[in-house]
Amino acid sequence: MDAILSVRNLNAWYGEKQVLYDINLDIPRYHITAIIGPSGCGKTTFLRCLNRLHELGQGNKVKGEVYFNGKNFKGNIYDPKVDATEIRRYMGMVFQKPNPFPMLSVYDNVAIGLKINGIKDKKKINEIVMNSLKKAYLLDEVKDSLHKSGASLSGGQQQRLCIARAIAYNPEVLLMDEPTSALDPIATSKIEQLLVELKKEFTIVIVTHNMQQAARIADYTAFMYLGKLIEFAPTEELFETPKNELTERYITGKFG
Amino acid sequence: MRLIDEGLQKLTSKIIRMAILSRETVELAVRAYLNNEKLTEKIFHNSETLRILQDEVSELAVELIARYQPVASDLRYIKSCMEIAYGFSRFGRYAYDIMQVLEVFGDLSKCDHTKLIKASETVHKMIDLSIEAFINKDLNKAEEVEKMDDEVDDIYESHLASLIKEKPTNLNCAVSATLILRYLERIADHASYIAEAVLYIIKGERRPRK
Repeated sequence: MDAILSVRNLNAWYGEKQVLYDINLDIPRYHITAIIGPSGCGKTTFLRCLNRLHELGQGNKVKGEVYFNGKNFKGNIYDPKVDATEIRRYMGMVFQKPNPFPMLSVYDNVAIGLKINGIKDKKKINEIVMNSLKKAYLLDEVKDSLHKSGASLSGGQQQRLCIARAIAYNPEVLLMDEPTSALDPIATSKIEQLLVELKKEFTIVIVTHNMQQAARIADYTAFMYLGKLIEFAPTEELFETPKNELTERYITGKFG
Repeated sequence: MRLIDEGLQKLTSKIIRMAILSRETVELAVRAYLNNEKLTEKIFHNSETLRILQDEVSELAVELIARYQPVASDLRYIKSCMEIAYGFSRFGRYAYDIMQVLEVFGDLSKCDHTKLIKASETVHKMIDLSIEAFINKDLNKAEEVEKMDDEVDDIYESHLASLIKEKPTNLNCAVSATLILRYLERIADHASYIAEAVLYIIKGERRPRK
């Protein structure tokens, strides 16, 4: 397996409370990996450890290694010499609730990251913005309202705008934390199609509460429980013949 | 109890009904052949009932998939139930075919039944074992059925070989025995498919078919 991220003995804490225990996992490049598990199992924390976001919370701590085999970075992202902001640039993030900047136009929502990162060439910015909107399956729907507020779009469009914003800086990995849980089934299905398209260019790690979503779009699925990685397998295997009794009980709804 | 469990129980009870009925039907057909009993109507009726039950199993299985999107052991169970129901309906169909032989050839009770009795005993045992394997999710019994399949194949093949060698004088006996051994051999195949489906429920393994 060509792993873009190799997680080794990853542990994480909120203050004194440990929430991840010795996670070992390889994330395959140009594939979708879904993380499933009950609320509070640590899946979001795990996602936020992959781009060094977790440590930003007060008192939060991470121990272990995450080897990133990227185009512009190779090595352990938790190496003390590594600049965390650089790592975050390689990994776009999309959250549960669509969060476009409401004061900015649709166009500027995508352009802002480029401007902040010092790109001044307007032609280049325009090219990237249009391309990102197109890749996020959004351009056709917003081409006449590029200068309206990002908040004026529907929920599904806002989420695709956030995806366009995330891919504008050309990250290698997209980290998604329940990106469709606030959307209706039609908008959800559009995002799912989009993700399957995007994996040609990006590696996607998605945390989802919706097991059927993992089954529909993920190539690999990881099941987490009480801060531990219980099982990681090709999706069809995990949902047809899970090896672990806990996985079996969780996905068939026999838990608790 | 989960919502899907009620549906799964319904599925199980339909399969068990099919198991009992198909076993009885095969038994009746062999008995009719050996003793020249007229059981055509009864066997035809059973075979039709089995076919209808198989349709009901398929419909219920599809409904459960549509409603609950089952995964893991639930999904394997439903898939296997569809295959097992098909197997049982085939038992009914072959029993009917055996009956048809009797219709065409008339009284065959004077023929030498040694091989046929041996084959039918093995087939009955296979049917019983496959049903027990399903009901008790018994791995050993399922594996036993698969092994016994070879015995029935051997009887059928050696029968064919002996026909060629011995040039039988009583064609009625020879042809009818050939047909019936062939049907028994097919029933044995389906019993071993049922056993395979049980193995798939338990272990999730699929074996290449012979």
